Formats: sequence, structure tokens, C-alpha cells
Amino acid sequence: MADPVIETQELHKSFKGNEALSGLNLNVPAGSIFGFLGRNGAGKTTTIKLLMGFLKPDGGNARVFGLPATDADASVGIRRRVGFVAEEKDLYPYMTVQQIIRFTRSFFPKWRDDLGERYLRLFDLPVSRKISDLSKGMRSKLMLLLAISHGAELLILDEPTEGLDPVAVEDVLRELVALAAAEGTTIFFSSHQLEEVEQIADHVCIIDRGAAVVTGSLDDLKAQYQRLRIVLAEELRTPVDWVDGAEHVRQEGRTVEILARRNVDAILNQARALPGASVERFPVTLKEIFMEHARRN
Amino acid sequence: MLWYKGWLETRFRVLFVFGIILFWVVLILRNIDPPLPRAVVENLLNSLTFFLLMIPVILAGAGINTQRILFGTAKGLHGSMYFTLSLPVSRFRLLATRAGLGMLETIGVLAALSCVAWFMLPAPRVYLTCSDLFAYWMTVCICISAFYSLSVFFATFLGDQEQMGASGILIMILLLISRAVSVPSSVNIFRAMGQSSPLFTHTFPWASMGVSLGAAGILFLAAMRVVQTREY
Amino acid sequence: MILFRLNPSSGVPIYLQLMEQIKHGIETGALRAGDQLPTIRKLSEDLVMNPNTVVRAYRELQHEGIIELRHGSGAYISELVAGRTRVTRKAQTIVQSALERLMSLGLTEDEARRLFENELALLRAETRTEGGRHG
Repeated sequence: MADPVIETQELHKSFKGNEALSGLNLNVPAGSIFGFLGRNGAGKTTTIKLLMGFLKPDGGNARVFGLPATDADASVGIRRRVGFVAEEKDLYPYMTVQQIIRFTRSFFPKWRDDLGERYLRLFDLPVSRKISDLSKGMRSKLMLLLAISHGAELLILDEPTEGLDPVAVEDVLRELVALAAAEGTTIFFSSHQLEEVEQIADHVCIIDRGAAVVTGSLDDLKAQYQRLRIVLAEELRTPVDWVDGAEHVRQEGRTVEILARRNVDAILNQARALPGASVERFPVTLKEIFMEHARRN
Repeated sequence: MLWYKGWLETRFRVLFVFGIILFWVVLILRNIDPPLPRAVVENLLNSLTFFLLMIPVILAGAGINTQRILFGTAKGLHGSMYFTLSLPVSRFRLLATRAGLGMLETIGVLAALSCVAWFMLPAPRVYLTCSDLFAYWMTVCICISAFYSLSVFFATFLGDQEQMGASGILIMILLLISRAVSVPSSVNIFRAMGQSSPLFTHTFPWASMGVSLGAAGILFLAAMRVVQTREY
Repeated sequence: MILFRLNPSSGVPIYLQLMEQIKHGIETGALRAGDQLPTIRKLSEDLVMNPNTVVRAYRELQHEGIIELRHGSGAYISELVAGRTRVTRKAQTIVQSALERLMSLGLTEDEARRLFENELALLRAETRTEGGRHG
């Protein structure tokens, strides 16, 4: 199995006494499209800044391409192979679209002119307009163009579709997927848009209060999580000692609802054994998994 | 293309600062009809120093937090430094390129001002030789480097735009102090650009120049340290 | 690619959805034995889905004998599919008569659907626990 492109171990980072990362473990497989999810302030941007060398961790380590992200020299080498879009979609207001493309291009020997041209046309960016005169959406698209065109092996994108209209979002997702298919680029992106993540990601990590609470392949997660609804003949008098893996058990009258995280079949058998039980199972969406962890905390 | 970026950021500043100071230089020196008492000329030159100090303040930069050019509106753009930092370039190179460019521009502006003043005004040509002017220019360049480095140092944690206010004010305070308190003239860099400059003494104020270079070096090292350890 | 419509938020893994839709295409006759399926790259671009997901779906279908992956030229519907169609026709008859009988009992469409889904789910659980695999 190939080495992970991004790997963090017990990453810790605090700001003025606030713990932003409390032991984050990440493992991003090569060639994957990895969705990094979490509420505001959970630690997504801090993690990304650490990977890019903007910050240094207080503890633990982070490696990109097997190189230490915390070493200044190694970080330069890492950044040469990474396409990055920051949370703030800001560029140099005094440059035109053409100028910033030429500027950025000069740093990356593997720059792909064909991709740059293609995205200029696709995103309909006016070449001679100053960046200060671009709308926020156009700036986002320009940042994406700059990140995708330089032949990077890895894309690190912080909320890449923020502020874009639905058509633009679809265009961006399509280009990301095309890049992954054609070049095998690994894509690591943070997002609030769970539908987008569900659409293109094959791995996800949900981060909460600085640590990963859910992580793994999206298909495995969806197979693991199930919602069971049990309708009984009469209300339960004594609570059932559910098998380990039954989380968030709710009871309303004669209906019991369980979110099963593991051992679904054992729980199912337990449910069927109850008097007069009729059991239904529903697949769980990423949104429900996400809300489950948000609500609990 | 970091030099190109720096140039785009500073080209209007260069013109602005050249224009403004030329205006004042001409205004101040236009009325020197020889012969004038030396004290008067010295005073005039001291006020010129005041204006020359604007040059490093306006042209200095650290290359990382660079938002507006001079008077442009930011329109809510705060984060282009993340884009800059994401480039595969060491922080030292970002700093050195921008600081180097600003210094070259400062030297250039001073040279241009000297040449223009020489050809536009009759008075200097009567009293001075070309080599005097050249020596003056060299002295000013070296003496001004300390203040340039100070501005660069401020830029590392305030941002290229914002440092102008801070370093400008600090330099003015230092200037006023140097005039109020008696500072040994060998160390008084301000005087070195004025009364003690080769225009009058016909020698280089070596001690002041040495002090200035030393201070410039220390401040630049401090700026390097800030930039390399700072968290963005 | 008008044949396939995926719902990423349905909770069902996307690769399974794709597999189901390819199988459905075969059953309805839209896809026939020997037809070529789109390349991984084209399908993922057209449907805006993860290419690894397409790979997984194609591999599982190959495992089940429904498609063939020919090295260098792409994915093709297997010739074996023709035999499957016979079984499907038979099954269709069984389901039709079962539904007729349920309707004659007075069940609504929704009730009937829920019954089927329930039984399928329980069947799945039984076969798994009997097989000793853990969920």
C-alpha cells in the first residue's frame, strides 16, 4: 500500500490558552479525494495552516509526501508540489488576472498551460481586469485556477466552493474529479457543504474540538452506520441494555429509534427479540452522521 | 518574479515620493542666492533631511503582508499573505527581495533627486563640485539605511502599509530628540545627513556611517528573526 | 450520460447506486450484452463523482460476472448477462403474482413495499449472522 500523502500524529496546537488541536490523527491516502469536515472553530483551518507551514505545532508531527511539514526547508519543497486555496480568497488587488497567472507560473516548473487556458475559458475570467475589480466568486475561481494549473500532486483546499453559485460549484467539482481521474491528484479539502463532500469524496474525517471523531472511507462509514426504527406492541417498561455500538437511542411511546454505529446485525437481532417488534432500517446520510457528532458535543 | 511583484507594489510610491521631495527641494533651495551665511544653509539642509527621511519610510517593506499600494481601498481583502506564504519560496527570500528592492529604489530616488537638483538649481554648482555631491549622495544612502531597516523591521509585524505610520512617527521622535538633547556628533546620523555631511566638511562622517550600517544590520537580522518565527 | 442518476445524499453508497443502475439498465434492455460502458474518466466527469467510486463499482460488477474489463479497451457488458435475463423474467412473474395476492388482501402499495423491504433487510441480517460475519 502506498504511503499516505498527508499524515499527522497527535497534533497539538493552542492559541492563547485555547486548544485548537488536541491530538489530531490524520491519514490521507494517495489518490483519494478526502473531505475534511467540522464545525466552525473545530480546527480545520488550523490543521491546513500547519500542513502548509504557516504555523508550527505545539506537539505531535505532520508529514506531507513523507516530509516534515514543520521544517522550513522541507516545507518549501512541499509547497512546490501542492496547490493551495486559502480560506480567505484574497490575492493581490493591484495585479490583473493575466499578471497573477504569469507571476504564479514562474514559481512552478510543472505548470500546465493547457489547464490554465482551459480554466480561464471555463470560469470565464477576464484576463486584463484587476483583481480588486473582480467579484468574490471570480476571485475564488481564480484562486482555484492558480492552484489546479501548476501540476501539483496534492491539492489542499480550504472551503473551495464558498461563495460560488450552484452552477459554478458543479463546474468546480467536475474539474476536481476530472483532475483526480486524469492525473491521480490527491485532493484534500475542507467544506461545510456536506452534499458536495458526499458527492465526490471517497474518504472523510470529521473533526471536533481539535480531534478526529469520525474518519475513514465514506463507503465503509455508510455501511457501518444504520438507523433502526422499532415499533413495539407496547411501551417498554424497563430499558434495554443494547449491544455496544447502539448510539443515540430514542424512545417515544411504542417507537424506539437507534443510530447504530457498529454491530448492526447484533442490534437488529436484539430488536427483533423484543415483544411484538417490527423493525425497519434506514441508511444514514453524511449529514446525519455529522449532526450526530455536533449534537452530542 | 518576486521583484516584479515588489515593483508593482512600489512603482507609484517611487514616483510619489520623488515628486513630493523634488517639490520641497526646489522650494527650499530655490531661494538660495549666493552668498548666504553658512548657518542658514545648514538649517536649510537640516529641513531637507526631514524630507529625505520620508523616502525609506514610504518605500520599505517586508514582502509578506502586502495589501494596498498607497491609497487604494482594501475592499475587505486581508488574506493575500496566505497566498504569498503558500508559494514555494523561503520566508527569508520574500523578505530579502522586497527589502532589497525598496533599498535600491531609495538609492535610485536619492540619486535622481541629486542630479535634478544639481541641474535645476544654480546655487549648488557655485559652491560644490560634482564629487562633493556624489559624496553627499553616498553618505545619505548609508545613513538612511538605518531608518530603512527600522521600517522593514516594523513591516514584518505590522504589514507593509501599516508600518509607515509607526516608523514615520518613531523617526520623527528620534529626530526631535536628537535636536533637543546633545548627542555626540560622531554618532548623530541626522547631523551626518545635514551639517556634518560632505557638503560642508568635504569628508565622510565615517563614525556616523558606521553606526548607521551597524544599526541597519542589526535591525535587518531582527526582521529576519521575526519573519522566520512568526505564525500567520 | 442520461442512463444513470445518482443521489449522493441518499445514504446508500454511491458505488452501490451505480451498480444497481447498471444492472437495472441491463434488465430494461437499455444495456445489452457486448455494449461498452463509458471509461472511468468519462463517467466520473459526466456524473461528477469520484473516479475511485467508479472503479469500485466496475470491479464489483466484474466480480459478479456482469461486466468484463478488457485491458486497454474498457468495460463491456458480459455475454453471460443473457442467461441472467431468463432468471429475471422468471422472478418478475413470481413477484407479479405475489403482488396480485397482496392487493387482493387489501394492502396498499406503500404497505406492500415496506413489507418487502423489511423482509429483505431481515434476510440480509440472517444470512450474515449465520455466516459468522460481523456487521
